[in-house]
Amino acid sequence: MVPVILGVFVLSFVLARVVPANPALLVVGLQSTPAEIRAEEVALGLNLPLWRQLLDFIAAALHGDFGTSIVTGHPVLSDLAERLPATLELTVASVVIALVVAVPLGVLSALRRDTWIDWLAHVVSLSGVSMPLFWLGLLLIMVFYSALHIAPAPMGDLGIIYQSPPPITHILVLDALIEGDWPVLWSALGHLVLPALALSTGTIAILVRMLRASMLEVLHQDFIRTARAKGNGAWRVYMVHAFRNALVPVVTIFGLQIGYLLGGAVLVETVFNWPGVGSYVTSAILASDYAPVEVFALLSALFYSVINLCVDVVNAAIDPRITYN
Amino acid sequence: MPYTMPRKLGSAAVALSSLILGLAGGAVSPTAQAASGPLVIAYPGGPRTLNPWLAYDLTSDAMILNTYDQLITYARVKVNGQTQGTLNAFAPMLAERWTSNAQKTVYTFYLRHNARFSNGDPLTAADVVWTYDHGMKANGNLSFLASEAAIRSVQEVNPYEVRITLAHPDPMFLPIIAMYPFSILDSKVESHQPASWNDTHMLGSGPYMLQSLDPASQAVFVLNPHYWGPKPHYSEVILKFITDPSVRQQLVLGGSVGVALNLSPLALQTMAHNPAVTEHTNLSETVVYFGMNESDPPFNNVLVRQALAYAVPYSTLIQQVMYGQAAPMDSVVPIGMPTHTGAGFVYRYDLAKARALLAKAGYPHGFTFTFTLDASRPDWVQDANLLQASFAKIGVNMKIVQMADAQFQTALAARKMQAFISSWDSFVNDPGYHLGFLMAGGMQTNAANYNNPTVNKLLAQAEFDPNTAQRNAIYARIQRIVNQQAPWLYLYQYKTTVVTARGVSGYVFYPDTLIRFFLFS
Repeated sequence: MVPVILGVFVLSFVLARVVPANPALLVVGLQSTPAEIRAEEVALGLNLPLWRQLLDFIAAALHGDFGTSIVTGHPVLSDLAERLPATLELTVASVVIALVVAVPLGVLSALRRDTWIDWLAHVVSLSGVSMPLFWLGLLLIMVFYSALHIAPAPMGDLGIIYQSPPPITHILVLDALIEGDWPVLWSALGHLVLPALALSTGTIAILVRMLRASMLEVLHQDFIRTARAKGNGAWRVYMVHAFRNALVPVVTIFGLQIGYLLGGAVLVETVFNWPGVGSYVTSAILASDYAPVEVFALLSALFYSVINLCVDVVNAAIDPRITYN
Repeated sequence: MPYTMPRKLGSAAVALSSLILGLAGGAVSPTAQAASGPLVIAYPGGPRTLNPWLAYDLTSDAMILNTYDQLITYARVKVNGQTQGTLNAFAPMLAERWTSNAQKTVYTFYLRHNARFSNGDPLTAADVVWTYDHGMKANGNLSFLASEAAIRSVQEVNPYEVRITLAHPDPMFLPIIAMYPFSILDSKVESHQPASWNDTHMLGSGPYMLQSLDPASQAVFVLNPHYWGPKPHYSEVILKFITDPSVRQQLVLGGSVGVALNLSPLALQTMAHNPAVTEHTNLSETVVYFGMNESDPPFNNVLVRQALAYAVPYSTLIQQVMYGQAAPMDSVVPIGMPTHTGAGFVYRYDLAKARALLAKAGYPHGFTFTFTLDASRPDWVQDANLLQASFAKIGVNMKIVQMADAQFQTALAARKMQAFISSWDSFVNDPGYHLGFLMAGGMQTNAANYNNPTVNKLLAQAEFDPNTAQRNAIYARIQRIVNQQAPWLYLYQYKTTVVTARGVSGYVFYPDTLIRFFLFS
């Protein structure tokens, strides 16, 4: 896990810097003199060789200093810590929506092949993988906010007339729930629905397809016939015998999809102006603000690695035949 | 019996759908522009810095203008019955009045006695002197502009009187000190802070003070309780940083924001007659041009440049790319800037003439060149495609290389691109400033490397000429020379459109295109 994270970090560090863009120029402006640009390059450490910049960054990071954003002027870690809860809230909400929609739809489409529900599953999964996230986000805004007027304005995670509750978990929905602030909870949930729905579509599409295929494969196996012959009810046959065995490949894919959700959040947060890590990183990329981009890449690698570890553990729990040396 | 579970699953799916729609529907807030609510303004991006000496983007500049005061400000005048700002006349701000000697080299500013910073500190001549002195020593806009305005020294005569001495009379002095980099800082606080403190803090004497800021999502302003001037209508102003222009359009149409900026030309055209919004369109001073690097062939040949000037589909660019949200250019100096003249601009879309000039230049079969495109600008992408198609008709093959914005800006500063599209908006509304940056040989901002000894000599001659008429005549002559030599292909001059939702009024256009949100009502 450590070599993977380190590899991703070094790669993102080098890639960000080999792009021929000069952040110093962006800080001081095009109308500045060459001397002013050079002075800013020195202030940002950009005059040093690449290897030296990398070593300096790693040395500082080992002491907990992950650099300062040139856009916000704040330490990157504190910026990210402030925004990460909003991204986690969005990601978890989209995972919940994905599971609640995809699992019944995937199972139903396998059990009722070539019926309307199977075709619906086909349409949902095809649309989910075909539509770019930013476009889907705009479409949802136009339909639910502009045309039907049933969604709140896509301007963040809370209506502007509300004050956020005192931070306890830093996750708005949970904090409002803990405080019993129902108007804020209602507003926060309303703001959460469309971005979470947009973010979940890709995952729903993949899960439905995987679950359908996996269920169909399992349903044709001998142990299902045996289970039926032993007089088990349909619920038990499908849920205990078929569904559990169909889950192993689905869980693996689902793990990868959770990683994908973090990347997708960057786009969705930008469209819905969600105050999370995604919009912060987008601003940093546009301003050639290296440190936030590098630390985000590091966090993403860490996130992927942890999710993969969790997938392995869950798979072993589902299927006792799976062991890891 | 076999379908007991599917029914349960179906019910779950229906329940979930109802929950999603119910939550979304139930959470619709009252619109932001309710009479008692804050004013919400949708900007395309957050500020890069809060430092008046370093800011140069629309969001930062506007935030500073609404939070700080300068000694004087731009006056508002009536044009065709509408109030708008002018960069050529001035009104009192922190200085209630000012005088100068006959040579216009010594100015005395008399400060108002009731000005205070938002922390309650009184604003005195010591703050003005501290701001100018420190700003002139630091890197950034103030030091650069102070040298452009020939400021030599700033002295405190008494706590409410400041004297500024110039090295020589300079017509740019008053226009420059009315700009946001000359915002007066609180010396009592600033003198104990590092230079970078202003990057992330705002402490001014203007109508608003910054309550909170997240550069990625929003800035909240509230009234400065110590403000000396009339109380603005809105006690709270929220700037929302919304990257996608389509979302900004939907928000202003839905009334969730009161003001939306930088909408796409197509969006503006489609909502032009929508009663829910009002479009305020004015001509900006931002010019968009196609630069040709004159350091190397074939663009070191004036005939080649003139040939391409006859192959630009001028009206197509304005109508089909900008949907009328731009005006044609006929000079390197924008319409609205003093001395602008289209004299010598003879080019129109005429491919036969373009072919003839190419043949005369020694390229009867055309040539191939590399064009660098900033792909982050949708109109430039379309411009490039139309120009490529048009040039192909005269045998000129334009190879397009795309770059991200940050990469393009770095390439622009290096001045090595063979051809490119760029834009320019002069900080100071003065032809000497404008032409000096863009047409003087060797300037870093002269990315086309135009270097004409006559133009260079004329620019130097006009710079210190105290005779305004003579100076203006020189700048008009330079424009004629440049038009004849065609170092740029003129694409268009942007219009700027601010869209306000129903119920929001008081928008005043200033040629610097910055929003004074304290004027909204």
